[in-house]
Amino acid sequence: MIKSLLYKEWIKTRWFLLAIAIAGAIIEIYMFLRVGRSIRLVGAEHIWDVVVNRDQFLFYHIKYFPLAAGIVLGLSQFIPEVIDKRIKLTFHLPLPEKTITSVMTGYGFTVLLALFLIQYVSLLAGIRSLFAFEITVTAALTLLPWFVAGICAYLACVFVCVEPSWRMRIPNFLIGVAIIRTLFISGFPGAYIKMSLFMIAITVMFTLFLWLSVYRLKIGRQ
Amino acid sequence: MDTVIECRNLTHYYGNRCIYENLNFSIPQGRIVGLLGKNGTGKTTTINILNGYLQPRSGECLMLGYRAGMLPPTVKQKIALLMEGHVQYSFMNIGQIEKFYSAFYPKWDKAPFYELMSKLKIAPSQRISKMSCGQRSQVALGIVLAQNSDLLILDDFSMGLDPGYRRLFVDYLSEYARSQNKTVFVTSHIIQDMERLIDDCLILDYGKLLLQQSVQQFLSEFKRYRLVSSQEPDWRDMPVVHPEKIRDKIEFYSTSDKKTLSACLSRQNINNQLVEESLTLEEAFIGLTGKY
Repeated sequence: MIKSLLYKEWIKTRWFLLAIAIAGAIIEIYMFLRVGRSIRLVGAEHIWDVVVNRDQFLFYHIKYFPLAAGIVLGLSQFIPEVIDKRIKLTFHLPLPEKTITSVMTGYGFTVLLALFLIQYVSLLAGIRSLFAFEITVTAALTLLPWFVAGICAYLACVFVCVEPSWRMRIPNFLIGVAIIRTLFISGFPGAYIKMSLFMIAITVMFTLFLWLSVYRLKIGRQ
Repeated sequence: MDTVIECRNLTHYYGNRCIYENLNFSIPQGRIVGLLGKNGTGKTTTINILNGYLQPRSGECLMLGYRAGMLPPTVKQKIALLMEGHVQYSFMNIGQIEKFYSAFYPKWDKAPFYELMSKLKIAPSQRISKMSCGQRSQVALGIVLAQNSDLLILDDFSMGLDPGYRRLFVDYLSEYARSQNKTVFVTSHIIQDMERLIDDCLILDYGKLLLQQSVQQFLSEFKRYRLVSSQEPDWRDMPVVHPEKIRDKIEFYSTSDKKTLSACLSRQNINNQLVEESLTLEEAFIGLTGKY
């Protein structure tokens, strides 16, 4: 049954996942071509100077990509469930509602995490091939909140979509935007170094929020 | 006979609007029962309460002995649901949806599903979202039948279907349910289709249940009467519903026999060349619930 539920999620999301993977690869290729071209034109010393002394982060083009990817995956997975209240069919399947919700959200969370990990690691590997280890670590910490924002955006989409009443969707949406906004307050390299606990906390918080929406749907709030 | 569905003292409001109060009914095993009512009388509300998607203000519903909304997965496997509008996973095609559902139901029988699908002129890879409303209804029905469940709940199955598809749906379902001794609980506001399908009817009016009876008994007892008279009878003394007088033509409905009604009219000195008419289920429904 779980396999079948995952099959449904796969059918809904496969083209969107492919699109996210291709878009991510294109952005990364573009960023490295751009940095490589700069190195060839002005020399590696100048680029290093820009990065080290002027605190510039050269891979900022990917900043909003994880956010967009999280939203796209969340919507592709849950909009079909919300339209025509199709989620009632899903909750009528002979599995506990908690299992159904966990499998559906777990699927999205896992595939998004896997995609992000591939993108994150490949990005850092590319950065490491051009820059020193310390710069790579700073880049990792600069990129991390953006990818966490992508995960949170996915969970926030579930939180908003599954909520049965439009009146409550608006505050849910605003809560989601406000919390995710905190991950984009500063683009300064390594600005979020001391906020890893905060990032974990908001991810957990969104996971709890979505259960609230599931509960409200289940008890028939309108 | 075992009771498959039981609702006790069910009361529900949307805001201040009463949908019904103290609704009581039960559905025995092996019967095809139609929940009939005009729009807004609470048919879908009842289905939603039964499936646990809505909590009533008070009262309780039991399905196969378990409280609605708290059905264990093994019981859910015995209940097939057809949602209003034949909603299904429209992002799937026929093969995908059959594969998907078959994993959930131990008694899954794909034969009736593919038999119905063979009647549709569609490509196997065609997505359900690209099908016509009638074709989608057959996919939804096929899935419900293939589940081979003990109880089938069908919410407003006739919505959006042309007469041909409605007839196909009713005939197929009726044949299936009777041959397999299934219990079917079906709602609709298109009554003409129901006469071919249901054994018993529950008729809901705004706020209350008007009737729970077998269709045969209802139609044998509930008649329409006509007479021509310039004088309007005093209806307060008569066991009639929804009397109507247009010029000198009088029409009313009653479960009383012609002799009793004629005696009532005679007492009021009204010429009573009373004409008794048997009714179809649709006419009887309108007679009981009124035109407005």
